Amino acid sequence: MTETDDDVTTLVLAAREGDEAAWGALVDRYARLVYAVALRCRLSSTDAADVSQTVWLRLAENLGRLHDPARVGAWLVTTTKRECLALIRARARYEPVDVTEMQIVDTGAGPVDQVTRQETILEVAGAFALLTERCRELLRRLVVESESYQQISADLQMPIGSIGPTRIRCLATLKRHLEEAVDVTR
Amino acid sequence: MSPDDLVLGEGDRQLLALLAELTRDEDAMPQTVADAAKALHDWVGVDARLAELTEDAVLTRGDGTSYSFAFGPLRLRAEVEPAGYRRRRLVLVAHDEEAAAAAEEISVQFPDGQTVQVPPDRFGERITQVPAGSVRMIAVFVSGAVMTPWFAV
Repeated sequence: MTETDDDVTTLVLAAREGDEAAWGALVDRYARLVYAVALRCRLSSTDAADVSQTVWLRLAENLGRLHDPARVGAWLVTTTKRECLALIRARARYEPVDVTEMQIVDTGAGPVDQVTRQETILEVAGAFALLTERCRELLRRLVVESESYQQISADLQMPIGSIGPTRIRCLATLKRHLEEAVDVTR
Repeated sequence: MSPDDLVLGEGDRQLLALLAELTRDEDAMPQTVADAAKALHDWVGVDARLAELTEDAVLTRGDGTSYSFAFGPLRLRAEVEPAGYRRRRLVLVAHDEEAAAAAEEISVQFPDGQTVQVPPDRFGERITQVPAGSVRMIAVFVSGAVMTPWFAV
């Protein structure tokens, strides 16, 4: 497995040329992540679906202008965060918040901790988007406790012996992307 | 615990815990979201003339907001007012400053691609109501169509 996703570049270039299957493959790869980022911006499921739709429309409009097609995942995560903010600002302008109807999730952490955790998860999402599809799928399965190596091997068509080392490499790549993101924002 | 856990450090476990939260949110996505995104394929490569926002959204009298856009001599303006729960009233104006002519057609488009034409009423005003969310305005002039970027209403 390489750490670059040549594959995604091919998909973006094909989708630009009107290949509907390539567009569908891009959606399959990143739709869940876009939706998850919208939810992490504390949007309801309905709003997260609306924001997702806007983000995909923006990609359709801007596909030909992406400077680095290999980073389309990161572009989607950044655009999702921007659209979430736009929605929250517009909402604040028109609809004063009714505190009696707010859904507050009590995770046991203080407000500052919760905000920090949300921001950290959004940073992780940005780094996660830069991984190859195979890496993302492996790491998803790493955090799903019930998945056996036999199951992963069958689903991803990988030898059982390579699963552990590959996941460690993917995790290392994820950490590197996270560190690079922190360096850029410093 | 998998065999990998034996070689993972504390930082790795924290990172995986964050990833687990993200993955749970990913799994919550309804299939309809992906289906709707796939249906947007027709919008790839659409190369319409895009008007630019000429000034930030301006608060008008009452609770209204106004957006102004321009493409060359073409001017597009949308006034947005609350119109009940999660509904907005839009007043749309588009004209060509050089030709001193109004747009022939004005439409509102929604993120799902649906486009609704807004005809002039008996006073010549183009007024419609839309759900809160994102929309854009499309105006057809003799010289061709111009669309605005998406804006929140």
